[in-house]
Amino acid sequence: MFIVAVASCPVGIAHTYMAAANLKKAAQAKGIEIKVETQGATGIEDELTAEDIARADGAIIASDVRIKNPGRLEPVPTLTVGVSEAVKDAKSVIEELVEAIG
Amino acid sequence: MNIAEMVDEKLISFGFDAGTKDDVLKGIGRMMYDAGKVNDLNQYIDGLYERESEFSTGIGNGIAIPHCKSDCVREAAFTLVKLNNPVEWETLDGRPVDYVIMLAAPNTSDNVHLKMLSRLAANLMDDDFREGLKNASSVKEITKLFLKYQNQE
Repeated sequence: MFIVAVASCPVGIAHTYMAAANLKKAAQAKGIEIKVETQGATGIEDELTAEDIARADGAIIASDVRIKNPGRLEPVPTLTVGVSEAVKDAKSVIEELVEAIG
Repeated sequence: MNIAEMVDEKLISFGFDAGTKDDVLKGIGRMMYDAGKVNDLNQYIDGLYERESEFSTGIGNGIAIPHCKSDCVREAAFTLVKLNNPVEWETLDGRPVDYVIMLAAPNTSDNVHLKMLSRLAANLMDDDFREGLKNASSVKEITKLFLKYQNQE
């Protein structure tokens, strides 16, 4: 299974990166491959490519603000959560997506 | 660059008195100002409150990371402050806050230092790093911890 994710937060220096770290950790613990794009104050890092999105089984948007270029993820089943949820309990976020895409 | 290079003793306290979240934001905001990281104290504190109004910065495990990005910040900086008594704070796990890592980010294109702040935040998701930081009782222990994590990357 391959999951893509986008993390973003109001200021773009802290929660974005905490959420990204936790999503990666939680996915890896389940043996799920993941790529997390961060949209922060320093710009976009690990940007999801068209190839990434084409082969993704599911997507997670962890953000309370409007992310850049959300339309890209339209073809992929997407779970949207607040960035805090991914900071607090990324394991549940991953599990919820995995359940939804079965 | 390493986060250890950004450690500023003026922004470190192993026993800070604060009774409320307001005391923390104002008192530790003043530390930033007194250390010369911020050139307008009121503007900086307003920025912290504005960010808190989005959603609280209590990230759980007793840690809060109040922060803002503002023109009044001269250079990227962070505090490492142990509170003498836990204070009430809206946190992700409902526990009060006893350790405050306040971040100050300038409105510049200086990405190197902003990335250091982001890496520090990400490191806080690592149980061993977080406990190591909270248990450190000297600046030397803190820089050693930062260097150790740098080397693991």
